[in-house]
Amino acid sequence: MTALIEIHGLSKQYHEGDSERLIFRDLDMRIHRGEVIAILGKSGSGKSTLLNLISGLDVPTSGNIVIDGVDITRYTEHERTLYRRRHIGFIFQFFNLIPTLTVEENILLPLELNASLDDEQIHGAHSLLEQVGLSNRLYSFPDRLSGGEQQRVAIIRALVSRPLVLLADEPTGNLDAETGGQVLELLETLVRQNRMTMILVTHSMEAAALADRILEVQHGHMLEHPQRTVP
Amino acid sequence: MLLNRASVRYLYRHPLQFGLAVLGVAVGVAMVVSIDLANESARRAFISSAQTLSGTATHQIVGGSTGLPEGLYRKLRVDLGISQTTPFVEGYVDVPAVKRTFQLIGIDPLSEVSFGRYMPGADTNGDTGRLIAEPGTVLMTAGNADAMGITTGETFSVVFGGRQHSLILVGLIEARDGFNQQALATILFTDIATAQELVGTTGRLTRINLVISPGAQGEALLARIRAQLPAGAAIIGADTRTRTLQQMTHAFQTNLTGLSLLALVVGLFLIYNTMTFSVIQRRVYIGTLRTLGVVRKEIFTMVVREVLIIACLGTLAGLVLGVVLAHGLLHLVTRTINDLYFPLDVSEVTISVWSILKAIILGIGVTLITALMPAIAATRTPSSTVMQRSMFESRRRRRIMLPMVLAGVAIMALGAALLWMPIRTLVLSYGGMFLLIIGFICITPLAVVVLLRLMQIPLGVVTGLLGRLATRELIASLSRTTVAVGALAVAVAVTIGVGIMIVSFRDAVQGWLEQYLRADIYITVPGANHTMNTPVIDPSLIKRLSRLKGVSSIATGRRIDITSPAGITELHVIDMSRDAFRAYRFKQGNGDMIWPRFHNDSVIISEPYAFHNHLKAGDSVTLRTDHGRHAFPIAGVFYDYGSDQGMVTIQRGVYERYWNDRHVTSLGISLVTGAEPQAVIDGINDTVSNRQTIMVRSNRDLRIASLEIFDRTFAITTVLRMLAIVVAFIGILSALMALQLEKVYTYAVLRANGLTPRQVWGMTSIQTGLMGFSAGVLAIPLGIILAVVLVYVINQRSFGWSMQILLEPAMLLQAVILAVIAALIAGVYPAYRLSHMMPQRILSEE
Repeated sequence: MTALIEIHGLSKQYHEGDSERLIFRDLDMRIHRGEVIAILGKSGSGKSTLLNLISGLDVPTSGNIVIDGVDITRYTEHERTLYRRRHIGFIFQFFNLIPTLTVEENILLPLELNASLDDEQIHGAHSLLEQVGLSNRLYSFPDRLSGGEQQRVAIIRALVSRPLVLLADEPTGNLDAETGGQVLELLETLVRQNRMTMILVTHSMEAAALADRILEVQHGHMLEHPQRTVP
Repeated sequence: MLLNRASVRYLYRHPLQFGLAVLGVAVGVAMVVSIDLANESARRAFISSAQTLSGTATHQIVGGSTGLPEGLYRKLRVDLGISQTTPFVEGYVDVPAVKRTFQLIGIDPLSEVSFGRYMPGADTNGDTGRLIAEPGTVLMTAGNADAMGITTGETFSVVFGGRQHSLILVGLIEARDGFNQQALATILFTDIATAQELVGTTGRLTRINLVISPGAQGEALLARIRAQLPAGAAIIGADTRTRTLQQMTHAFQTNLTGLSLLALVVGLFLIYNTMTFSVIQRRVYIGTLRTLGVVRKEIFTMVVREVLIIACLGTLAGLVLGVVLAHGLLHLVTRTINDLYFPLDVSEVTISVWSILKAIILGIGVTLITALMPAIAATRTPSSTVMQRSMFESRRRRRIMLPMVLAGVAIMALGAALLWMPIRTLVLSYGGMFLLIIGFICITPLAVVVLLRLMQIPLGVVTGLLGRLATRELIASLSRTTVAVGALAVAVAVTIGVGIMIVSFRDAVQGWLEQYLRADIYITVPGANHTMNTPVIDPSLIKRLSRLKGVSSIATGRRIDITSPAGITELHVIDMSRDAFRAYRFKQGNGDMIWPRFHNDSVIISEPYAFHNHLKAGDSVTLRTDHGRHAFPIAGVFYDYGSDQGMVTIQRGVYERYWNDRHVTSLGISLVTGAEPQAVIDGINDTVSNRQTIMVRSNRDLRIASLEIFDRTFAITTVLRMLAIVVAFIGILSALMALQLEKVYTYAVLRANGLTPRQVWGMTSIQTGLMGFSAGVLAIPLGIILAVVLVYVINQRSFGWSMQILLEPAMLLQAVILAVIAALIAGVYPAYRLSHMMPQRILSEE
């Protein structure tokens, strides 16, 4: 199995006043194409930072991140943004839909940014919405949707441009248990159906259980747990 | 496309915020447009009037104090064979029926075949021949005839020099376009003889217009004409007088433009505030877009596009508002020009394409420049903001505070350097003043934080936890509040600065009037001005008045304009006692020291005249006398606030040696000790009886009238200052609405914990009061700085007047109260909204 994401000697530290806080130290990691990874860890352990680094939102202090053969750490900020636009899908804890765009427009936004908006794509987006039961909310604005509905729209938005990697940061963190369960089920279905690679940051054991591998960030290092074994 | 849509919907969803920003730009643009249109209308009306009168003439022959002999015209046409000449006799007459002053122009209809020769822009349907055939006949526009309620063949009355005359309307003039219409609206045409009889200059002409072709042939012709001119006459360019009169109002109009730009500056802070807030408000939204791969350039474009919408709508609304406002301001501008410079009647606002273009460029361009910083800030919104929602404000504040203060100090230093430079350019001076304001605004955040922190403790003691919370919330929201506070501070500072300048100026004028107006009673003839054919006081009347009971002595005065190729010089001829002369205050020396030289071929000049002409005591000033050009030594430079162009004052004995004019246009009567001024005034009126209408005013009345003119002159600045406050008020309201949006959850939590709607009112009122108080306190130093700049730099470079700054503590206190009241009123609606919110809904939505 080929590695889609290769991380070599990754270190990241932040300046906090006069002191420095180390998040990662000399981290190595390989994620394969089509693999679903769950990352666990305490608050502030660096889970979200890892997603920021992989997506190019943040830059490492040292080390390399190679995605599909491209070392994104060598990119400029502008190049990283364009890379993210084309190859990364994001799902957030707080949904972060654009409040002034309708459901349909929120979903089509990544396609338009990639200049790949055509009838076929629009049809595909509509099919996805139908699949998640929101085809009747096409023209609703986000503030008219429930939390679960908003997150389902956010998932479709992340998937619609068929990114190389899907990054999900606590996607059920802001939902009740039942809705969270439904959203997870949907996410897994869609990811598996589309053979996508996903990195899922979560506190939820239930969410982590859907992953192929479970990793835990501890003191700047990544520990791998036996498959489908929750610590 | 979708980003555009999101952007437009954002504006649509925040109508009040968006509307206030548009209104801010609109009022700022409206002020600039209205002043520009009013200035431009006055300028065009004047030029049009001047061009209408000069027609196709290239040169004019002007005479000495009594004009030109009629024989000169005959000599030019007959002896020299120059056909392209036109004689004129001019004077100003009052028409009681419409209570207006008209320019009476005497022409020679026989000298040319058509009336269009004189008036290329007009036709007449009357018989111009009747002007010669029948004495006392005139032509006028149909509009004026209608206004006077007369038709062709009917008579009407005019008054010149206090004497009434009857004239007959024999034809109507039709203007070919709007400009000529406006120019002709102030003119009555008659023939030379009628005009001469009416203004009392039989056998004399005011000027002769010439059409001289350019080149060597033309120059040769001019030389031939010059050789025929009597002493005291000169050939000037046809546009000399127009140009000089225009230059007179230049500083006045530039200052108005400068003040109007201040309102735009205040409006721009409002735009900056709105856009900065909209960026901060959407940091998560912008961060989300960045994670979706929207590049910085696209974010920048998105913000700029929003600003462009605001700028376009604001500018459009500003243009409409400006045109409406211009109608009101035009009256104030022309009234000031009439009071201070020359007669001008402008009834219509001229909408010039250039004025509109300037407003569009200014409104849209400057608004876009203002929004650059928020747009750049938006592009720097870290994408990770979506995951780190906290501490944005405080980090941002800490990060930008020091650079802003440093930038502010640097900008102020640059402004001060510009003002310090020994230049006379008003535009650069205003540039320096604007830099001082912008620099001051940059240090406002730090000043506001310091002020709020200082007030936090006493306020906490007085108002308890709510007061402390209100102050902290305000400090925590500095990015939204300081610019609004700054905008209000600038508006109030402008009020303070201009207020101090006016009070100082008024004080100087009042002091000057007290010293200058030493006589007990003053007499002038209605309609008297500085032109040649101005009404004069009957010489026999002066003799009779000197014999009146209670009269101690009579000083005479005469003012004339001397036109030369270099421009116009106002000459003031005085005949006063040595004691009265002591009232003059000189820059160097005193009346006693200068008196002997003043009686011996020297002149004294006013401070503005010295400034405009780069002269000082000991230099000489060359004037065109009735006996040719003569250089008069300058015995002294005196303080004078009567004319911003300045004047040359000459002793009557010296004047009569060089000029043939013996007329008197004003009298200053000193009374014997114990005489009752009103009794003497009654005696004067009895003496004059029906011989001549004169204006008799006591010293006190003349001072009051002079100060009334002064106050009228500055009425327009009051309008501009008030409008600047309106813009700042909009700024505060906008900032408070922004704060309300931002803090609604905090208030909902407080309400859920038992805060009553009344307490919400109280808390928001504390915040608005603090904002107003901060603005008021900050406005004091800035206002004083502006006053110093206005008095010692702008005024000096505009007019050359010396004056001392007069600081009135009450005015500063009023300014603080004004700022607090403006802020409290602006806070009413946001407080109402907050106190009427439904906390359960807000909390469930969060």
